[in-house]
Amino acid sequence: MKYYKYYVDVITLIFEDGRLQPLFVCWDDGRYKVDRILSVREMYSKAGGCGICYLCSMQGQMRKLFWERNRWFLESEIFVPSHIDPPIEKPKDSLAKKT
Amino acid sequence: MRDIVEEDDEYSYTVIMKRIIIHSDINHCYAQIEEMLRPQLRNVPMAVGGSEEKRNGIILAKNDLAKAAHVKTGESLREAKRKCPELVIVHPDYDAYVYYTEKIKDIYRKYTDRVESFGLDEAWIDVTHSQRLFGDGVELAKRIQDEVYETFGITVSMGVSFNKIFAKLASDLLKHKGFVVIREEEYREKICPLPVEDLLMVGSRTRKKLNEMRIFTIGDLAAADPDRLQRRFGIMGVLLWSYANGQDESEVHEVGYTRPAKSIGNSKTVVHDITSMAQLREVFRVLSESIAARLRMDHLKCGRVSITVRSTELKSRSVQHKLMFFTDLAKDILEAAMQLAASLKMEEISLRSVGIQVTDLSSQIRFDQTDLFGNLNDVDRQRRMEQVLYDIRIRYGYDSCRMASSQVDGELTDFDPLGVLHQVHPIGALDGPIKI
Repeated sequence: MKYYKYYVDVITLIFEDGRLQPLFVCWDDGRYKVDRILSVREMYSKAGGCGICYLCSMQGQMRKLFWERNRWFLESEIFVPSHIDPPIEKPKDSLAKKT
Repeated sequence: MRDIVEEDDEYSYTVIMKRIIIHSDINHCYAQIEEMLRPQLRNVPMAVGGSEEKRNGIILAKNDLAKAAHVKTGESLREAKRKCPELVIVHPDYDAYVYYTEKIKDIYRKYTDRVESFGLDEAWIDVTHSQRLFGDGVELAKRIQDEVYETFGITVSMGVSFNKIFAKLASDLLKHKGFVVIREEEYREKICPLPVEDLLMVGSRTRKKLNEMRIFTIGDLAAADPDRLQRRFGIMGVLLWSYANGQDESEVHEVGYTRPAKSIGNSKTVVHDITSMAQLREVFRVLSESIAARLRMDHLKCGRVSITVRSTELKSRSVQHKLMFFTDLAKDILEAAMQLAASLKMEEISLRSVGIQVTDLSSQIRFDQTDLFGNLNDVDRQRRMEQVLYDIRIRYGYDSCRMASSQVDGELTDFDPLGVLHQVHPIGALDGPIKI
């Protein structure tokens, strides 16, 4: 899998307590309705960057929409046959002795 | 670990808690934030560095591939490029570094009110009392470390111990999301074999002097005679001895604590060499205006001015001067700095970087002292004038108000010492006078 990020215009509802709710994602000339928000959590994106990740359902598809500091980006996952994912870093738990 | 007995008045029972101090260190901080923002940089040797054109081109941080190519922090971009021609240089984005390091510290602050920053990328976290809410401190440290990684994709090394010194030492032992615990009952076998320079506050010079005394490891230092160390290093020797023996009771300060400044300074590596006293005056003017503004902001006055000049051959000279009276005026600081520069009797002026520093700071002196023929009204007028100048610059930008003389060589004074970050400079570990 290869990951890309695209900064996008998003029509957003800002609640009085500061929470955000993405309503429509603008892509080319079209607007895509965010049908459901399935989860909201702070995390990093495999495409780079981090922020508040809104897992959205749009036209039956799942998309991760990130609020990064002051703008939105859409994480996109593309299957590339030749691409090999880098190994996931495993936490080192051992008590080390300096060599 | 050291036990803290806490009495709970309401229920009158005693809870025994281990003192747990965590030291967290974001591994090669600037480079890692850049990698997080642009993951493709992980696959190439990359370093964060200044600008070669502006001549402040040194390596500030590097990734693992650059490290493998022997690129070192602090060396010039040219030198680094020579070692590793394919090195990708990324210009620093301090705004992002401050933002993301603060966001990471926000995670620490979720678990305790005792989070003390040590520079941008390091912090001490005291979770002793958080254990009642969140469970075992060592496990909590691990959870915090994982949470930082899951939220930001950034690895932090963590050292967990019963005091700040050993926690810091532990976090330095293992990089890349390292996690090292040094318990009180086992610190001797873990700490004693380590070289003495691993201890906080033992730099290369102290290490050399300690080695001359046949002290090579922390164990040697712990076993040394404290009187002998005091004779050699003064009170600092006893402090180091107590650190080596795990006797550090210093507290992790609460969130929001700021230590009082001991000195205020600004320095600048200029865009082209300073070759005359007139040019030096213009650079000093910008620096002294910035220092005076910071003094006034903190309601302080200074009693001593020092300057540092660095020649094109990278030789540094430094002189200081005690002022006749305390001041917070750029005019006085500038005059003192120029007198100091004149006292250096430089035959040929060719300076690459210059700096001014003020010390003997006092918040007690609220009056203006003049000499016998001085006029107090002049001091007050000057202060108001400088304040207005500062206010205009804050509101309309630094360039909105400049001295005509600075336009003679606009390039030389084209920097804004107030606009950039001041908190990124390293701060000392010691807080106030040494207490044994």
